[in-house]
Amino acid sequence: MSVQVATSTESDQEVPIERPSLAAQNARMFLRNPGAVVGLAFMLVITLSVIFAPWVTPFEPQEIDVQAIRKPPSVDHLLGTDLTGRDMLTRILYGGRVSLLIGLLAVIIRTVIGLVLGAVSGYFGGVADFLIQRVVDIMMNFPTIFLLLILVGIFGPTPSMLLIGLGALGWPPDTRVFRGQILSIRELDYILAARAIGTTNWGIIRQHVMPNVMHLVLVNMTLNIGVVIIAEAGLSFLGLGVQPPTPSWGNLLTSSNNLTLIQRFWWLWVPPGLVLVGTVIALNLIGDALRDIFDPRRRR
Amino acid sequence: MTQYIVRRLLTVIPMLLVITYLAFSLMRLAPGDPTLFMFLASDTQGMTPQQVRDQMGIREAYKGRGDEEVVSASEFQKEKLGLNDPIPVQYFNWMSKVVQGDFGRAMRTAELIGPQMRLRVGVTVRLTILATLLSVLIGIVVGSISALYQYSLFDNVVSFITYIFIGVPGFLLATWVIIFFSIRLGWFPAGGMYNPRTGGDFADRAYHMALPVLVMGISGSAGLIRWTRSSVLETMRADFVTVARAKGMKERVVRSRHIFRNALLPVITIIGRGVPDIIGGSAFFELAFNYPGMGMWVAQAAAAKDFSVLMAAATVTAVLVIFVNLVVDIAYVWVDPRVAYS
Repeated sequence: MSVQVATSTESDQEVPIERPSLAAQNARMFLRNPGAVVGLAFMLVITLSVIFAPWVTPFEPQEIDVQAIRKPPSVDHLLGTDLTGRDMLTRILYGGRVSLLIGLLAVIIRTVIGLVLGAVSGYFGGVADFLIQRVVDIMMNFPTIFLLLILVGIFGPTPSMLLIGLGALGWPPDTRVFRGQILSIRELDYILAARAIGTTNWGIIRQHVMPNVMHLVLVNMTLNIGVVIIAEAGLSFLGLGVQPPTPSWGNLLTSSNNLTLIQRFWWLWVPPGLVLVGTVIALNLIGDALRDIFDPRRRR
Repeated sequence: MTQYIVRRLLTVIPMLLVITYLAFSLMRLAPGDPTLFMFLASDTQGMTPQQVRDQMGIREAYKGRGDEEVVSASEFQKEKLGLNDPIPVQYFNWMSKVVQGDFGRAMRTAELIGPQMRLRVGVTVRLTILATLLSVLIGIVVGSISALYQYSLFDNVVSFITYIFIGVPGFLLATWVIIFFSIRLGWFPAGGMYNPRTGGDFADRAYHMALPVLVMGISGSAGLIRWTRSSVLETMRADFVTVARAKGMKERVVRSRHIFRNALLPVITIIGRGVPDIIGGSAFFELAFNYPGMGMWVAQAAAAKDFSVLMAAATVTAVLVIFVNLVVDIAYVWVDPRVAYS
């Protein structure tokens, strides 16, 4: 009895907060979304098997087995072999390295550009804002794929050109999104307070603005990786993506994208297709779940 | 209103000039004389491609996909065509021809670009307008129903399908559709604009257009369905909707007058913003369906490094997109009286 009294006085003094932390709450919300959990699990499996490809498959991506050309899936070749006798599973795994890496790097490029320009534009405003927004207008008024085609057409489909094209051309919508968010943050009271105690602009951006755009950055990046992967596949379809023999999900899919091959050798396109489509859907499921978590208005 | 349109046009023209100038100076970075063919037309009227090459003394080395994809002319011809001028001067010369509808000749085939352009633009414009209308129709109807019956079976099935359409690249979808509906079922032709044996009357052309339009429209509707759904959901929670219901208005009236009218406004902006992507995306469908429009042309020109076609197509596309955006803005005023351009 006396113990109980003691704890209650103690708790009166310390005001214990029994609510779980925000991160834990968010994690719980994420886990309650079945689509997001499936998406995350899928991405984990894909990412891990792609990273540890040499341990998952005994073959090399360029290795040709003349005994097995165009063979359907078997015990030796789990997903069969392609037209020149290369193991499809191996090529899908190594192609995943290329596709996911291009996706990630390109998205990092466009996000960094978007954040820097968005911050300059939204936080400082003025002439810089005007100029940046006009450039955004121009870029967003033109089909990105045509710009990509022009760039890749002039400089050739080298890996670095693809990265620059897919990364550096994607920043305008990102800039616009981040700018909008930063504009509204700028007007908040705590920014005024920070300025009142003499925090520099750079300090405010770093300590108060950036942390409050990070959730948008996360959502955007997740969704955009899928966009880039599809764009690379599209470029491959036009013959300007990652060039064979280096495999990518895009060129694996498009190299079998003709009416004869698709109908006769299903293992050439079904597995890469499923992996590519599955990855993009998984990223969208994760991105949408994150957006719901961070946007209280969208909560159920 | 007229004043607004005029002002928009005045801001649009510098934009066009910037885009084309950047593209033009980028092209000059390619080896050889990539802009050579852009200046060939007026003096070579009526010549066949071979005659043009012979008479101009144009060397062309583009066999294979190596590094030596260079087109160049003799020093005399270069001087005559102004290829030794500074880039701004060249750009100005080119622009003043383009304004008159003269895009020069295609670099690879040496054919005149202008007549081709007119055909191709018509094809793509028809294709994208029909596909966009279909997308908008599906997007608004399905998205609204999904929102009104949130978390119903219909809503869940629709959101499942939209995820798939967002994940599947357009060219893959097109190939599946061709295999299933054209080859297996034989309901539609597998590609082309018309049946070359019969020459193609209106019905035949419409028949050939049906499948590309359906595939483009349906795959493009996925994004619109999601935008419409979330916009309608948001509007349904707005205070004025609650007030309307509290006043005892009929549900039908609340939906049509209060929810949809307000929810569809942002959707119009989304449609407008999507136009560049629809035009760009049509490249994949045109290639898959062997439907010779602008997109296919640009894609093939890029693969062949045909800079004069790329440049002409880029310019015309920019004009098209800017025009469409202007129309969307005007539509906005018409739909939303609160927006006044003055």
